[in-house]
Order: sequence, then structure tokens, then C-alpha cells
Amino acid sequence: MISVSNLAFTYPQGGNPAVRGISFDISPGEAFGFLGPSGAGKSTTQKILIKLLEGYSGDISLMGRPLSAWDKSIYNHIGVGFELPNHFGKLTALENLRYFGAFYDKPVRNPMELLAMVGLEEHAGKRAAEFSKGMKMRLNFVRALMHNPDILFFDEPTSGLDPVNARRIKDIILQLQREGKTIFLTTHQMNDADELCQRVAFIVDGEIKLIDSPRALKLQYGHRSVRVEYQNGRVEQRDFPLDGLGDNPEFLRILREEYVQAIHSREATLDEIFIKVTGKALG
Amino acid sequence: MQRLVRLIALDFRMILREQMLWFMFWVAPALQFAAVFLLLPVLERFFPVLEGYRFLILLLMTLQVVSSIGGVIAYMLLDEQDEEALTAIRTMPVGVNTFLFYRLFLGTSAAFVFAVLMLAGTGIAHFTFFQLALGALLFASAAPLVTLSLASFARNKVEGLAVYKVVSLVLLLPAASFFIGSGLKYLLGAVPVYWTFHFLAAVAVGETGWVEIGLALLTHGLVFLGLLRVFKRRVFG
Repeated sequence: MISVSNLAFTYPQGGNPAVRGISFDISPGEAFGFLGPSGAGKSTTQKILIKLLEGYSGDISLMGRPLSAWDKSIYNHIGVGFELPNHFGKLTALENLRYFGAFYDKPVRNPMELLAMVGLEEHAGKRAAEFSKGMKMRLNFVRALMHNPDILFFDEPTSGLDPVNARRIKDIILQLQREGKTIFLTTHQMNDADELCQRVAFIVDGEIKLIDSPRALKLQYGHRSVRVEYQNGRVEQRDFPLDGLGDNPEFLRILREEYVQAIHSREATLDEIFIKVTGKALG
Repeated sequence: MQRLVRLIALDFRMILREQMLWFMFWVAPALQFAAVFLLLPVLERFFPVLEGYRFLILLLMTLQVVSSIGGVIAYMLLDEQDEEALTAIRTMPVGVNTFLFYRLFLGTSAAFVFAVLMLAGTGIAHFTFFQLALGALLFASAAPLVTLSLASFARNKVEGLAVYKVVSLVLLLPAASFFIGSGLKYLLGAVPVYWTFHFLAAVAVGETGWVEIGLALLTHGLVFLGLLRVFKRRVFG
């Protein structure tokens, strides 16, 4: 669906390349996470893929066609959820969706249904300028869905959202995946990527350091053990190897005799893996 | 067509929802019309010298009206730059160029209607239908120049007001040509509205004004293309 080979880009005003020869492929229906700290080249890559930046080197194809061969009609096939809100402040949420909807060559979804998806139906008549950041982000998000595109680009889709609305947005993304949409997710929220993406790429200083599925990475970089926390006058912790766990007498004794409070498998988190692989923390 | 009507309706709502835009779009033109139609005859009774300048006053007031419309469209674009809405439009199939031309067309159309009202409705000058249409069209062509100047050289509405004053002053300069006897007045021909003024002045005394029309179209076109280039470079890099 998306194929990128040796992509490099340097901003005209900046000396150092923002993206340095990255390559990756995204299959149809795949949710692909692009993870990295601020300034790593994530948003630049996304801007190139959605044709907002030109002057790159390398090969990119979208839906089997070179990106350079696509004209504006590409935007009938892709939806973009920007990192920062961008609406007509003087128009209401409903009017915003109607206004943007007028720019598509194909029928768009009912704006009220879209607003209801993200809990904004009660605020449909409120001007976008009066929205909180979270409400603006939700409006951004549904605007990307209004023409039912095949490929969706989301840049930090849960940024500025409270946990309830972040959950709502993630559920919609999961539903979009089930519907077969291809999703390119740019984020530094490792939990979001872990939950939503089939594969993730770690990008630092414009270079991809690693691409794999979150599950494979967590197993590869984790400990094959479980940690048991139990109450024995005070809170005790014991680690046991996964191999032969069912026959481990001490593990079985604790289960039988102690007051077990929690048992954790000890696969690595994406945060830990990112730091281990790139030597940098996210933020 | 339905989509165009929807965009125009929503654009007018945006204008109605901001006092400054509402004032510039509706109130200022109405006041200028009233000034020419009602106030000028009264003033002429007290200051008879004004009678000789009646036609020039009509031209200047009409220019103010179309400039005001151009300013409204510019302020809308400046707001949309601020709100990053133009970036969102860049990811729509219509593209930002079409959107920009739609907005300039909207401003020019509105300016055309107001220019017709000023030129025909104030009763100061009498033109044939063809002369009126051409004169109003030439006046309306100044509106996109004002829009692009403001949207290109100002970063926000506060700067926009300052740029608007400068642009209005530049557009008024050709009025001086009516007081300059020598060929020096042609230097003011670099300002496109010079040729609009002189086209209407020519037809008012029974001439055809074809040369003025040709030069008006040429200068408006050249300045428009130049400003469009500056706008795209400044706004989209």
C-alpha cells in the first residue's frame, strides 16, 4: 500500500538532513507505527507521504503508483489527522465538516454521525474557536474520516485528550483496522503504538533503527520470567524463569501458601526497547 | 454548483460572525454609498467648488469600497493561515490553489456588485450598460490585488491593518494624475487603477477608452501574477 525506499530530505533552510535514507513497506490493512522523539523526522516523513513537502530523494509509491505521479486526486484516497488543530475558528464544528466536505470529489459521511463518533454531537453548534484542545483534536480526527479513505495518516491522535476520549479514539482506530484501512500512525506514545500497531519503526535523527511487531520486540528484549508479588508481613517479590515454571517447587509453594497480590510476565515495554535500541528516551 | 453555494453561504456566515469583517463588508460600503449619494449634494451647497470634483470623488469612493471588500477576503485568509486551516485544505482534492481562486473570485464578484451600485446608483455619472459593466469589472479587479497584498505581506490581522493603509494609499495615488498636466502623470500608470480611472474619465466625455481598457487589463494582470507568486512563496514556502 505504501512503499518507501531510501527516502532522504533536507529542509531548504536547515543544514542537517531531517530524514536520512529510510526504507519501509506497509501492507494493505496494516497499522504501522512511526515512533520517535520530537525532531526525529516522524512528521517530516508524514508530510512527504501526504505530499505537503517536495524536494525529497528516494522512491515512494502509494497504492502501487509513484507518489510523484499522483495529483490532487490522491486526497480522495487518504485522510490526514494533523498533530495540531486546524479549523475555521468562526465556523461551528458541524459547519467545519460541511465546509471541508465540499472539497471532496465524492460523497462524504454524515457530519453529525462523525461528530457523534467522538462525542461532539452536543457541541455541533459551537464554534471551533471556542473548543478546548481536546475537542479540536477530536474534530481533526473525524475530519480525516469524512470521505472514507483507504489510507489514514494520524499524527499524535491522542495528544491533548483525556483518558476517556483517548480510549474512544483508539477504539475507532482499531475498528478502522478491522474494516481493512491502512493506518500510518506517528506518535511518541509507546502505549498507543503497542496497542494499535501491527508493526512499529523506531526513528531517531532521521534514521530508522528497527522495524518489527510490538509483540516480537517485547519478547525479544524482555526477560523470560515472571515476577510474583506477595504479602508476608511485608510485600515480597520473587522472579521465576518461565521454563519449567509449572514444576518450580518454590513458585508452587508461594501460590499455595502465600497471599499473592500480583504476577507479572516480564516482557520489555516499547519504552525500554526504544531506549535500549536507540540510546535515547522519548519525549 | 451545490458545493459552491454551500461554501459561499458559510463564507458569508464567517463574515457576519466577526464585527470588523461585517463592518468592512456591509457597513463601510453602505456609508460610502450614502456619502456620495446623500452627503455630497449637501456639501456641494456649502462648498460649490466640490461640484467640479464630483466625478473624481465617485471614483475614489468606489475604489474605497472595492478595497474594503478585498481587505475582508484578505483578513479571512490571514485568520485561516493563523488557524492552519489552509494546511488542512492542502490535503483536500480541491487543492489550495482552487480554494484561493474561489476566494478571490468571491471577493471580485462582491466588489463588482458594489462597484455597479456605486457607479450607477449614486446618480453622479451616466454610463451605458457596457461602459458600466466594464468600469465595474475594472474596479472589481483591484479587490484581488488588495487581498493578495495583505495576505502576502502581513503575518496577522494587526499587521494586515497597517498593510491595508499602505495599499489604500498606493491605490489612491493615480487620483493625482488628474491634477498633473505633464506626461509625468503616466508614471502613475504603474498602479493598475490609474487606467480604471482614466477609462471611466474617457467614456464620460464620449471617448471609447479602448487603450485604457487594454492597459488596465495588462497592468492588473501583471500585478496580480506578481502578487500571486509572492503569496504562494510566503505562505506555502
